[in-house]
Amino acid sequence: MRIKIIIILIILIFGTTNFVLAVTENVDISATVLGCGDDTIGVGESCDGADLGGASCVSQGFASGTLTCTSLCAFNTSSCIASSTPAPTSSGGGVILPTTTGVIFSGNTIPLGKVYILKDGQLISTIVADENGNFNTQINGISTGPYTFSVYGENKQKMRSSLLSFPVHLTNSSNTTIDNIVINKDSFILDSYGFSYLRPDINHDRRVNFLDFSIMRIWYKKYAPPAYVELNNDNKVDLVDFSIMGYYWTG
Amino acid sequence: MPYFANASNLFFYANNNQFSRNEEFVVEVRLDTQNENINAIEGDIILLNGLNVKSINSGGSVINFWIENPSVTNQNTIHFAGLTPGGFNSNNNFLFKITLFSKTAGLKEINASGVRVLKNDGLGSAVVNTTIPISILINTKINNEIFNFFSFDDVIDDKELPESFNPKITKNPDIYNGQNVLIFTTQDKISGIDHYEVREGELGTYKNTESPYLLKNQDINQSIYIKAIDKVGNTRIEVLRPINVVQDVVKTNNYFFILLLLVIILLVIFFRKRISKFLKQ
Repeated sequence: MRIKIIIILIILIFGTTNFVLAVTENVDISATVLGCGDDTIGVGESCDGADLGGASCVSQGFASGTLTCTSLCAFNTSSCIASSTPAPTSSGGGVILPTTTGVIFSGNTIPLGKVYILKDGQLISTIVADENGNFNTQINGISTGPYTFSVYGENKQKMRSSLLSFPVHLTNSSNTTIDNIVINKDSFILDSYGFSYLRPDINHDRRVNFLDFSIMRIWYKKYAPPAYVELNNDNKVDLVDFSIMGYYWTG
Repeated sequence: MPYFANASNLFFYANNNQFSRNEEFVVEVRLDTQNENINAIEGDIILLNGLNVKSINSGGSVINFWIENPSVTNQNTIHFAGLTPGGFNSNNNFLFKITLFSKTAGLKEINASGVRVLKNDGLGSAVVNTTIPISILINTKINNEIFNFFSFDDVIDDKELPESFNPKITKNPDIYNGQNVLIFTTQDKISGIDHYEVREGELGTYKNTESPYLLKNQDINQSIYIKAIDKVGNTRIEVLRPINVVQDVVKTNNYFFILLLLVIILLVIFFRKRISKFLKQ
């Protein structure tokens, strides 16, 4: 009898503990503590926890490797591989050193507004404007050639602006500057976390990017696509759906 | 070019309009958006009167993501569809180029059909597109060096690796029954991406594939290597370490606790006499 009681007690204790742990791991903490350590890039921070703002070793001027964030919210490039180490190539046995250059972005938006920078549709940097709304950053390690850089802003209410695009042909002669970027307060009209634009966020990760594009592409011109991958309710995934997704793109 | 409101012009560019039989020459497909901000385009390029495709190159294209890579769908048609998030707006946007040749002399024409050009307005509104065809005269003379001095464009001097990229693992109930898939893309600004290869684990072998790629190792406990190879063979390799992958921690912990619980119950049952004796003391 006592043994049975002990087993029941063990089950109760472990069952409760397990339940508590599982709940703890699933809780979404809605309150945020401002500053370094809140997993959101803030003023004066290059990164915060896992949020690297789209940066990578390459954008920091290295050839490859894994970029991380220090406890002081600065980039940790200790696992990045320096540019002088040639990346592997199979083009005839010779060592090829990539020709790279940098791009400087500067402009003005709302005070403390978050600014996202995309290169050919892929997020490469996130910065926060100062108290006067000014922002300035430099992205390094970009190969020469034609690019479309895009910039959008986000305010504290998670409303965002539409993409501003800047087609640029980069050469290796010097850094390229894209300045006088203006994201004024009237342009923050897209709801980043509401339901007005989230339909293109097919995988519900609060981003509209290549992952969503890839899922939609699987259903391109296919019969009877799931309702959530076609955006204009015409029961087919065609170029119009991709165009809508491109407008709401966040990278 | 005349200006039309709410319109675009698809046109072709070649550095000459006369070539010799069997001589390779390049024709570029370009778009004039006529002051519209365009983010999506698709269509078919039609090659008439005996033109043959040697290769297609989209390196340096204004298109960021190809929904359908430009490729030959039948003997004289090249189909393409692409997206550029945020859009583009200028009178001379390069889409891709085609290296052609003809075995027969005569006047050849390149045109387009089914071209759809959509605005970056959140609705996918179409603009009226006009295609301006191009005519190419193929001479019977075998080697017309005077006319075609600059026509050997197909020799690409590409010493750049494909762009660095950031592969990701995701799952979706409608892709491979919700299993983990690898998604990746990159660009090569000069010669264009030729193909991708993926290797799972240190002892695996590279296999030609495309995104999305169904992972064979669904536990994702080994490194994944993704090669992007451009048209001249330059190779960029990105590695996805297991540490980069978000594991299902809650599920793993639940299994651990269930196992631990079972072990303890078995121990209690196995040593029940000793425990009873201990408790009576």
